[in-house]
Amino acid sequence: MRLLSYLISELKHSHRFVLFFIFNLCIGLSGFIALDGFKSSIDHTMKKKSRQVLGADLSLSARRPLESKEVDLVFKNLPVGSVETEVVELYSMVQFPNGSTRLVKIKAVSENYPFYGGVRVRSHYEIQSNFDSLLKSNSSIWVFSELMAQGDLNIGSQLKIGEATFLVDQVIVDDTTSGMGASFAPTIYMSVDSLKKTNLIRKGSVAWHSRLYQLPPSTHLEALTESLFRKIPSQDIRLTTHTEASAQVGRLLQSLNDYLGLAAVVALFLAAVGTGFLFRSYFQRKIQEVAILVSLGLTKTQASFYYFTQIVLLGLMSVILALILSFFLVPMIHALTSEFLPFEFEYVLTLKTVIVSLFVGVFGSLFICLPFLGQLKKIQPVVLLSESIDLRATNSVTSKNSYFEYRFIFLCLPGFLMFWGLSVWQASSLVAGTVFVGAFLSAGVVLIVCGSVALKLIEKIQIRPRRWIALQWALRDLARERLTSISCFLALGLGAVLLNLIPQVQESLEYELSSPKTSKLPSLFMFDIQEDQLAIVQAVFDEAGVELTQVSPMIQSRLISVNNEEFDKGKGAGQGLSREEEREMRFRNRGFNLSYRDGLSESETLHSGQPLVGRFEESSGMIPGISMEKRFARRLNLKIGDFLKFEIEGVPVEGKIVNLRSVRWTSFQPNFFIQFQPGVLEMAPKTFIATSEAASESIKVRLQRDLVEKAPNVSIIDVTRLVEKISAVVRQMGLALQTMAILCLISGFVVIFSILSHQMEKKRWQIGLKKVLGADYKVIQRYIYLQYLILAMFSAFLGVTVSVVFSYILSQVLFESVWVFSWKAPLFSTLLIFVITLGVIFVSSKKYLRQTTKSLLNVS
Amino acid sequence: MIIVKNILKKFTQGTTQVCAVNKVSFQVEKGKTLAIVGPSGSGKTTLLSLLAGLDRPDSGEITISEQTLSTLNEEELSHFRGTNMGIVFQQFHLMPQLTAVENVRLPLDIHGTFNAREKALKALDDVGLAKRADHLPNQLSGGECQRVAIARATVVEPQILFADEPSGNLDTETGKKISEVLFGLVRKKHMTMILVTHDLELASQCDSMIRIEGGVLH
Repeated sequence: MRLLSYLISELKHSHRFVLFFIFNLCIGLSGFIALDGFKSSIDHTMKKKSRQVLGADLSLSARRPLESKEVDLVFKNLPVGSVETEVVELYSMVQFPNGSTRLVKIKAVSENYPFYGGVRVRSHYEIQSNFDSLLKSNSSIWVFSELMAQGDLNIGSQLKIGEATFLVDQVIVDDTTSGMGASFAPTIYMSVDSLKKTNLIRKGSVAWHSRLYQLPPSTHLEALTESLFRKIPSQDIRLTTHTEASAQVGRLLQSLNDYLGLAAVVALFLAAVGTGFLFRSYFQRKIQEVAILVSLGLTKTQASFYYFTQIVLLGLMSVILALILSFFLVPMIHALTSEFLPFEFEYVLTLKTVIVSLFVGVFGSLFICLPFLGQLKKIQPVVLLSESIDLRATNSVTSKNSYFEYRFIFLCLPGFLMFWGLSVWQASSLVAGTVFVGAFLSAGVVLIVCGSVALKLIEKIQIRPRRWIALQWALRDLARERLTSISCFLALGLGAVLLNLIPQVQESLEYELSSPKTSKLPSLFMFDIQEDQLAIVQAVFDEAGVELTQVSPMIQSRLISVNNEEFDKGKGAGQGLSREEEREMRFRNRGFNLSYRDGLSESETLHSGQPLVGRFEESSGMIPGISMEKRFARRLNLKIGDFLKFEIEGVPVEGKIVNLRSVRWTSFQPNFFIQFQPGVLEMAPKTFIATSEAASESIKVRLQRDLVEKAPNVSIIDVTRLVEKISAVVRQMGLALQTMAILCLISGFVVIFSILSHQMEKKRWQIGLKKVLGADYKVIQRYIYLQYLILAMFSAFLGVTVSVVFSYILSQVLFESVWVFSWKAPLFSTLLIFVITLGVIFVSSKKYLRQTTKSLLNVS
Repeated sequence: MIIVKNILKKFTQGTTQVCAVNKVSFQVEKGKTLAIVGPSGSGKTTLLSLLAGLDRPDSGEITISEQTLSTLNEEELSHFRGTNMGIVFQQFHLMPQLTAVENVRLPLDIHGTFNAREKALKALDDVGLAKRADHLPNQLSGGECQRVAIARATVVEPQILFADEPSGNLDTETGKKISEVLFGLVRKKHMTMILVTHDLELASQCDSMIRIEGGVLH
């Protein structure tokens, strides 16, 4: 107990170290904790609301009408007491009474819908699940309030949808089942019977046909879903539980959270590096005290326990502060990510967040300090005796023999494993997390190698003139104090890597998500054009004097086999999948849209293999060629030379992958994962996709109005408006990332400050000696400035270079996005390191240069 | 009683091995004082570090109060040192953040002794520093710091006291006063003391004296 009071008294005495330690760790932890708290709160809300998001316990859906045998197969395998309802969702154009048009999402529902949740209409405050009035009427629709303002509508106004006209019966102000799509296309509810009147659903139309099920409360949903999944023969039918449905709603947010999570790990890692250096300086000052305590009978175990307790105490204080700070940060993250969240949530500090925070804060602190604490074993009280070897030489934990010894590296392992584990956890991906950590390890190796080579070169530099004595000393110290120089170089370089990496990757990500300024985007994107409507659509465009471009056929199909083996539709949905498994699962469990084209479009580039040349002739006896998008192929484990067999309306079609291509999806051009050689699919039932570059807003409005009148089932996306929406989302994402980058920046500042302060402390004795030997103030000052500025600038330059290379690798491997070089971030990081270095040297050197020579030499 | 038998300690300096203590044997009766003298680098500090269990000999045996040090592991040795030995250093080695009384009670606290404050105050009183009990080391003079260090070394009432140049860091006048305090306490408490010094006047106050040179007793 008394030791505890010594411990507190010691911490009080070292208030500067304590404040920096807590501040540093708290900054690093707060981003991490706030993000975890934010995610936990969303998970908590989603779990509570998941049934309301789906409106059911389970759904069966496909992008084609479900066959009765498929529906029957599922229903008869459900527990007794289960109830079902039918829902069809699709995008369509509507025409307002004033003649204007707009893309909406149609949700056609039937009896029993929904089993959970529902909508809040303007006339009722409560959420209601009673759709009776809608279902009984063949001409009523319920519309989202957003449309009322856009179309200047009132209750009773008439809307033309497809080939029918409907009356607005209710205005929806809230919908528990609406996802992100609602912000791009507002929803209109109607009955399934009413949908038939519109004649919107035709062969090949893009629509989601679902059956929703309410199951008895005792049902084991996961087991049931797994068994049903195995029984459904077709891979284009998807089973979705309510928990998966709610997870899908927040998928965009999930991706952002993954990225923010990695940024938070970077901030935490920076904080850890800073904390490590702070502790190293502190511990070196304490070595003599430990020796005294040991001479008084304190055992090494007690000494270790003493410092462990101290670190745990500091870690705890940092966690408590960070938890308090998280209450301010979470609303900020919420505000920054509100665009991606379709529902409100309340910040709940969950037990999981508290446990995670404690674990990261306390164990993290211990792991960071462990390599230095490991030096306790080496401390011998014999150094306290009058004629023993110089304390600085024997006890320095960074001295030549100890710093890079195996023990030190071994004790770094727990911290490293924790960093790796956190990265994998935050990225929700073993691959992404490992690549991320691997990049840092490689950065360390590159920095050490480059630093060693540079020091070797510096050693060879001969400076003779007397007036350059400061530079001579600076270079000589850099070269001779090799391990100190390299460790300082490594830490500063890693600081520069981390500081620069986040903004660098962010720049690329923003560029990728926003529309590339260099390419011309179409202004209208049309889909669901039936074959017999192609001429009508063409005529509408001809009449307006606008060119209809990129007319591309789209054929719905199912993949039957790969290399004559039945296509594996995957493991089905499940909890705890990594991001890669989730993606693969989504890609496997779906229908496939095929197209055919001779050559590549301007948004495509050939990645590998041979281009598709000429038209396929059946008489040739060859197999038709297939061009596949490379990421799609990777996710399905397909490669050039694989034979694929598709089924289109019961007719088998075979092809062989002859090339892999990259597609720039942000071009908004009609692009497909799978393209056949021309001459194969021309006779298959199909719809068309097309784009147009309408010049003015008035022509766009006219084209949309004419199309709704002449081809009412054709859906039109106003790309300009969509890009505006996406840009807003990207800006929001950028803001969220910048907030996290600021945390990195503050942590980075502490790292640089701690390293340089420590170095200056070590220089103290040398300064004193040089003073004794007659060096004047200016020469010593110049020598210190030169030594550290050379070191800082070289490490900043190399760190920034390494981070630019890694940002390229991360963009390519992790985010699979375009990489762009941002000159601002490297310049800023280098300048920041320069300014901080200058500031710290200025403050520290002034302090030491003003001290008396006696006190400078009195280091023990 | 301290029995030293044939102890040998070698160090490596660069590529050559230096024998700091070479086959040294002697014994000190309980309650007696012994001075180890010799020039700088003669091996006297190394010998003291071996006797105090701060370092281990390469060969030979040291027995203190019937306990052979080589049979103790690191933890046991720390405990044995804490309860049976006191060490006074040339440079005092006080904890800068602790007051005089807190510094003195440190060994008592390490071993969980009751009434630590009272015992520490008594020890400070014994060295004539009771009034300065709540002062920090930087508020004390060199002589006062050494008195605190002596109080700390003797507060556990050790059987053996080791003193490493106790007046080496002080002026002559203060050094004399410190030696008076030290010898006074040793006699009063019937402690055995081994003193390392190159000050022959100080050494002459001990019951016996041994001279070491080149690691060998003369």
